[in-house]
Amino acid sequence: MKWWSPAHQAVLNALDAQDVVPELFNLLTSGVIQANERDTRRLRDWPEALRDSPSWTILADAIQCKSDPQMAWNHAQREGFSDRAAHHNALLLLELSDRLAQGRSFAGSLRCVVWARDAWSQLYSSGYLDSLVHDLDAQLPPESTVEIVAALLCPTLEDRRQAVLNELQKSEADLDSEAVSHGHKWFDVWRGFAPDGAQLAADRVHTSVATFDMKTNGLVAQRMAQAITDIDLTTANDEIIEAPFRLAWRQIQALGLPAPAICELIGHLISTLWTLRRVGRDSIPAFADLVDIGILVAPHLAKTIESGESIGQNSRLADLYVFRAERDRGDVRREFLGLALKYCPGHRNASMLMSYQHLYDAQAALALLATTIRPASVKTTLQKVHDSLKATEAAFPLNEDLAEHWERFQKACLKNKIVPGAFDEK
Amino acid sequence: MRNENPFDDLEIDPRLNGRELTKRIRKIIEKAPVQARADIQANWEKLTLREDERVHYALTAHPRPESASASAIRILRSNIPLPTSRLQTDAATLTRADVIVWEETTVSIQHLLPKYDQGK
Repeated sequence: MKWWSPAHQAVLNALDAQDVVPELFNLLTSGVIQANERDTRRLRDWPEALRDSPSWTILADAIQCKSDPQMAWNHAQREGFSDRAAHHNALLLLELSDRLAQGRSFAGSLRCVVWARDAWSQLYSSGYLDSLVHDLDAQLPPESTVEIVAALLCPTLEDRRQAVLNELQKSEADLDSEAVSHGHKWFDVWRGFAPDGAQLAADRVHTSVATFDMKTNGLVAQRMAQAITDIDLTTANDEIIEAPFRLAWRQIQALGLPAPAICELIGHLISTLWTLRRVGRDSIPAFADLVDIGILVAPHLAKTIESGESIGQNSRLADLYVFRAERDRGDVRREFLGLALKYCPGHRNASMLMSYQHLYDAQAALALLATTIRPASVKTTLQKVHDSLKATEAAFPLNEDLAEHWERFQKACLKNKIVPGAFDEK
Repeated sequence: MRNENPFDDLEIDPRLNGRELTKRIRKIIEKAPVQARADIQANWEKLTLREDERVHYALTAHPRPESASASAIRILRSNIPLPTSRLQTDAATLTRADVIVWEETTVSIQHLLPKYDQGK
């Protein structure tokens, strides 16, 4: 009789799985997830499939020596897995990613999903899935099976998207930003899905990622708009006015600062600030708080403007910088007005405020001339007045107080026996 | 994540075709307790009513060749063919190997003792 039969192999595989599967779970999840009995039963083929792979010696060493799990698996990937092992890896790593996320081991979950993506790439690139479909002898037209194979990952991506959307529906107190951020990063991993010779599968995944972006941005914008519409800005207290913006900002940060959501937030913020000003409530704390939220968002909006991702947002950004500039004097004001004019050179309010800032400098220098001043400094001070008035004129030629200050400058020149035109030449 | 994959749930080989599946699931139902039969039936429907779903589930189930049966180790052991000596010798000339009790327990020397020696 044959001493080694399939029945012997089945027992050996079952016993092997009992030993090896828990070790591999430790390796892949850094000990966070322990394999249970169900895992070892359904994965009885996995150790044998891995043993048939060129990478087995690396994994065996890693199990034996308890070496760095991440490095070991990356090394094993480079050495290569058999397609059957890759099939187990692709399914299991997606599942482990999910289980790790449920246990809030987000870094481990992202590591697993990167490995899962690579395993799926192998399955698609190697033609393994097509050959498996052939073996299944399905009574389907070929185009249907092609579509089924291409869309294999879509249900998993849909589930993950729905989980993030559910999280985004929660109130600010209940919002789990880390979970949303993990969801965003999880989808980011799939942006890099590019299996050789499987363009349709890549397209299906990329469409799913684009849908994630669209739906999450849409939900943030929709919730914010609805909440703001429900607020009566003439009577609402500070907390009620600020709440939708605080929530949206947290959501947007967790979603990796997407440009469309940033634009929505700034749009609603600016419109709310103007409304508060119109109804005479621009001195309530909420006004300053909204400006502060806006200033946190502003650099990100600026970046999207510079990269060309956002178009037509310049004046809103300038509005925001002007609101912030109004709060301070001197260099701080000048800095914010400078930013406003950088992104929107023709911005009327920024130009006007900047013009008055220069006029204020001219005024301060004229006041210095009226007090005791060393004769040697007179010319320098007059030069400063002249330059500030020129800057005032350049910033906002319609400044109503400009003419009066030019007059004062000329008088001061005459008093000090200096021809006013002398400064123009410099 | 999605609900269980019926192939994983029923612990059957995803490569079985529709007819083999029905045959295999019928066997599973026959052996299953009454309260578990509705679930098995639901899984059977998932796998056999729509061919596209069977293909999807088969591709997203862990490979499960015959050598990776999910049966209990006790059952797998019982499938191992008995040694030839037992088949060829008569009862009067039994060897120790013929009377080994193949049970799924922690192996101890007690289990390997020939039964007819125990009275001595």
